[in-house]
Amino acid sequence: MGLTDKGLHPTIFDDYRIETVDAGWLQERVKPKRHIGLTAELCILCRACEDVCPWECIWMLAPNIVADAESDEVMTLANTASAVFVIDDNECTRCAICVERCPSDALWLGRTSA
Amino acid sequence: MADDPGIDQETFDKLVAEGQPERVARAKAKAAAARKARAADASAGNGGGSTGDGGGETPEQVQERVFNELVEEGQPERVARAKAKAAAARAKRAAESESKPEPAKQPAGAGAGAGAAPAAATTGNGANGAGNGAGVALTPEQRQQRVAAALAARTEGGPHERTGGPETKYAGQEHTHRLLAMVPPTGIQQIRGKQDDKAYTWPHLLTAEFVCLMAVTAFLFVFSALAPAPLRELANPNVTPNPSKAPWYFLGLQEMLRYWHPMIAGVTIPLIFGPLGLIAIPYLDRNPSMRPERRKFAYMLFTMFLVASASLTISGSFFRGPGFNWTWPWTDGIWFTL
Repeated sequence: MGLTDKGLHPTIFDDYRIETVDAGWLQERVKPKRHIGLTAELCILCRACEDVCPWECIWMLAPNIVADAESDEVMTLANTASAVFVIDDNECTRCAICVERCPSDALWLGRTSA
Repeated sequence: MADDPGIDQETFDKLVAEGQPERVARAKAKAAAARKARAADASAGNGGGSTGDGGGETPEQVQERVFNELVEEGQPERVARAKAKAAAARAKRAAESESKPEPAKQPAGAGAGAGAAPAAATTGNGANGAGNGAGVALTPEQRQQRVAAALAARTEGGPHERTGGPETKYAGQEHTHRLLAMVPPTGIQQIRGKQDDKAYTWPHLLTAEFVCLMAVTAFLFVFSALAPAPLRELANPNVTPNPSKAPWYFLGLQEMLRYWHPMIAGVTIPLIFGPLGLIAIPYLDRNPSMRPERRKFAYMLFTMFLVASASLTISGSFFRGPGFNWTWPWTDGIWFTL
């Protein structure tokens, strides 16, 4: 049962802290072995993925939602970015509708490289 | 942090009296003090392991102590340093495992003694740090500990102390979302044609070729109109011109004929540097690199060939006069027609 099935909508936060999670941890803790990925260079910020997602789990947000990051480099990236994409992996069912919908092939569904 | 065992004054005085250098005396006294402290620990029932169980010692202290002990035993300094380093690493790991909220089963070789009061780990919590590609293969137990540590969201030390507010979020807390990407401004402005592995000869190649054809034709027209190319007088078999020179591209060969027997100059050398040499290139030059700075030998060889042929051709063209004898072009003029 996803949130949207219950008639709920996701809460949007603006106090994100970016942390690195190692691939091994993901392998162990997350059941689906494939995750949605986004190639930033190809993205045209059309928000079609956000539009089609049945679970409302992928969002394009303003970069100022990033309150902090574990390294200054990442913080700089966040400060200079045009947009930040966030996905709720618990809600995501890997249906890959967003991948189909993406007009510039920026989204993909694949394994995290360990 | 437990206190530094310091140095054993008695031992120190004794050694100084013996005439040992102060440095050595201090080291040995320190080791003695550490030994005493450990003996005291053991009698108190703390059962310190052979490597020290992080009983209040920082890894650095452990390293120093082990090093001193080994040097005292007469081990070579190199060995002692290596072993001390290993001991320090063990101590560090032991301290980390003790500072965990729920110590799981230790992986073999962690050498953690029965922990006394958990040492205040001064480790920069590599426990829940990012997988920074250090290349350490974690055992499942260790990874569980990491997760536990992340969930416990300890706030002392480490990279997690950068945040200002107390409402810092950690993995597994309230809301965790995965950052998909941060789209840089350059990404949006990129225009890309569809990748296509086909390009048709017409129009892509043929238009370019046609343009080249036109350009070359125009150049030839202009050049032939401007540059005079008169025919010389009718050939007379009884009068050979002197010097009798081949076309310019054979003048290198002709120059070589001055130095060697015609068989050598006209057949052997051209054969070696021509067909045979070209055939041999892939067998001689086994260098897979394509970068000039890594193909020094090949570049050197070809440069030498180029310079040799160029200098032979130049000397045959401009420095040979009547009878194909040596002349200086600035005194005898140039005996060269294109």
